Amino acid sequence: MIKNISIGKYIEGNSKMHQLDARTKIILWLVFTLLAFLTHSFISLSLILISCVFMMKLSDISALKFLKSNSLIIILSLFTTLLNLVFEAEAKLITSGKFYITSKTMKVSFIIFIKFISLILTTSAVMFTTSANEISYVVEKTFMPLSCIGINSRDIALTITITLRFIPTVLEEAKKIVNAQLSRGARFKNKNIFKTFKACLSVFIPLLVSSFSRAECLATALEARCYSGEAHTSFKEFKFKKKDFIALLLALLLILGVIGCNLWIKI
Amino acid sequence: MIEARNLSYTYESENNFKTSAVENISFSVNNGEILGILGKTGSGKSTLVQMLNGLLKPLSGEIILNGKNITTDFKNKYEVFSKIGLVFQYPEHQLFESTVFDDIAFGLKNQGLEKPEIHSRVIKIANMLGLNENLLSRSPLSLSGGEKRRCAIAGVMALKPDVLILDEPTAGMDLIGKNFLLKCLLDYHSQEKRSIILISHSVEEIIEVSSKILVLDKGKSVYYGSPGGLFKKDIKYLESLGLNPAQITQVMSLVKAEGYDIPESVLTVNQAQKEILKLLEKDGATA
Amino acid sequence: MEKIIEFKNVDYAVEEQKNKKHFILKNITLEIKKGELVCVIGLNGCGKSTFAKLLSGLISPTSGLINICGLNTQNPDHSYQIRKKVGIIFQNPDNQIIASTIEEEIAFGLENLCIPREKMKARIKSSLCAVGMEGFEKKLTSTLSGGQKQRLNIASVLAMQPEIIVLDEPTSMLDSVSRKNILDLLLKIKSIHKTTIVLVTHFMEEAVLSNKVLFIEDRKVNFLGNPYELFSDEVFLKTPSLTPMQSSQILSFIKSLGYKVSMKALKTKDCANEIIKILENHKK
Repeated sequence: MIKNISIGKYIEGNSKMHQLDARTKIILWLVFTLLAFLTHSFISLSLILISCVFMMKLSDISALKFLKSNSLIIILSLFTTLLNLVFEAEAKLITSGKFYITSKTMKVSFIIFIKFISLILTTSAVMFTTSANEISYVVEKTFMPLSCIGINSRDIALTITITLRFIPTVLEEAKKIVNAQLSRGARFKNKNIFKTFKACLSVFIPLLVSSFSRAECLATALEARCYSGEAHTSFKEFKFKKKDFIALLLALLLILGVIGCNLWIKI
Repeated sequence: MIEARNLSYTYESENNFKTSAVENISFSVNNGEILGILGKTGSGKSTLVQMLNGLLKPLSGEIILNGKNITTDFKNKYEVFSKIGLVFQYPEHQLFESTVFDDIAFGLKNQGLEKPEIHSRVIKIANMLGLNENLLSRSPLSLSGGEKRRCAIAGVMALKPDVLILDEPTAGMDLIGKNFLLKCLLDYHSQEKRSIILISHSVEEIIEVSSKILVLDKGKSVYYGSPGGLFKKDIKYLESLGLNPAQITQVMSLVKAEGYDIPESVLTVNQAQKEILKLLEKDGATA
Repeated sequence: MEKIIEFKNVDYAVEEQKNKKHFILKNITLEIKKGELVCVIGLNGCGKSTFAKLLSGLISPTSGLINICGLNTQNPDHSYQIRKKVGIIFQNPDNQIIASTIEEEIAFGLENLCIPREKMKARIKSSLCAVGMEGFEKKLTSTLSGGQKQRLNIASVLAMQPEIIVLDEPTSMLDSVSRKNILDLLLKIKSIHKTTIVLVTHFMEEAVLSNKVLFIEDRKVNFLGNPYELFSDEVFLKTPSLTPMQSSQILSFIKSLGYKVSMKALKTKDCANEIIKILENHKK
């Protein structure tokens, strides 16, 4: 399961999504996420879901890969949906133990599930096709105005880049440490909560220690490569292309479509 | 005794492509023997090693420890872990307890041993690995690199496993650290008389201490036999396996090229000394 | 040849407890000339890494003077210039890489130097060529092996066109094949770009290929000079912190039998020739 977590897992490629500017992708993600959160109508959410699936298709990521990478969160979503399905929305805290499913709860649960899946789809589509450096560039440009209050946006951007770049490395390291401690008899799934806690500590502490040592080394390496957070040029050229305008136009159409559905179609 | 029979393991890479990490490996280590496993990075050593203590289930084949199959005949995996001790690469990265004593005792506490037994085992093993008593109450993170390594290894040795497997135990150490650690391992071996499996990519390190050698290349076994047999392989073959020959091997190979009667590969300085003496005595002259 | 690095009575100490200083390096005075390959050897903990950091201007000496390319490392106005001129590579290949793709990684240093975008691509290409990784621009850094990661780090430094490259045990976490590749690469860089290289190592086979070897023992410079002089000196060879090369060991053995050998025949071919000479003389 550790292997399959998708955070920080940028995949090389040249799909339509890869070719979009990182800013476009972040805007699309924001639009889809906000729309998914704010709307509750079945038809709008279906529109949003279709758009998210379309976005996923454009990123050339196979369904299997998507499912594998998001297995944990999909299971959580299903679980939440099921909980909602079984417990009525107006259930009292003290119940007599009677559960029943109505057409209303089915609809609500289904809507929740669509929201979750849309979020997962759009997040995956963006994360798989946007490298850490592209994300950090967007962050840097967005936070640039903060330099007047002494916050260096390049520092923030670099922190994000490094975090994302090291997530797979740290996960791999965690896996190794878990194996090493398991081999010494550490009980990760034990009735005795103290033993489980100790086992988790036996992984958490070494990871923390190695992270600090890694951070020190990285900081030295950055300094040595003349990083100063000040004036610098940029390797990546971020220019909006025709594709980006088309994508943003489609997003606008989606917003209009959702508003229209909310106003005129009451499903 | 531990026996591996026709072990195979494949893993799925990113694009769902099945790659064979280990293919049809067989070997056995009798009680008290030392098996050296050689191979360059990517030859399947680490995968093999994780199968040996039960962390990874082989795709096919079996591992028999003292007549019992480790996958089916043991109560649970923890029982296997206590009988087959595995020391990973750079084991000092797993230290976490507040004192050296506690870290070495971690595995013993998990086994449920009594306090007096734990205490005596920790003291004994710390001694064997050159860790002074005054170090036992210190934080393991305050030790030097070599001491940290030995502390981590002690934590596994203290379990008194029937088979001790060490994956590149001297990686990253300087020569003095390496020699000291190897000496401690040999002391452990002679005192406890247990089987050891040593994995490395350095021929010189392994050749003098092992009773048997297994060489891996691309997941397959390309040599399994006595260390002496490895001397008969020529230097270019060893190079092709990624076992970069030591300087002495290259020197003696150049001498052999001039027509002198020397084995194909002289792997250690000791052996080179013997070969040169032989050649000088053959000519019947000493200065 | 002009001197490029100069140390004068340099001390480096850290404060362990209140007012109690622990000296890591004491009274180091030396000169390194432009274009030289200098190997720094000594036991783990002798101060080699600290020396490497002092060389790169990353830390300042507690007392004494360090001049790099004529710039005083203790002057804060000089830091940027010194970091431009000195590239440093550390032991752990992973802990120096910040980007997800190779070209972004190499570009990072170029961005910091304010190199214009049009010139970046060319520099990236040529530095990848120099380390034998042509065409690797779009590859992910997480898919590289240890040896490749270290070569990437060297490429990242090379792209910044430094005058001095310092490497702190760059191969101790790599296997012997990768180690040999890195060493060959360094020799190539030295001969093509005439870069001054300071290599901290504990492999004697690497030290013997250098112009000068710097042996640090007990916080001081115990020897600075020709590696052949050091490795053929009987007194030095008996020092516990100096581990003799295998060629040196076999030559000592032959010498102990009463034969006359040149203890300076430390390179593989030279050692083999010495042995062949002895054997030939015996046939007669």
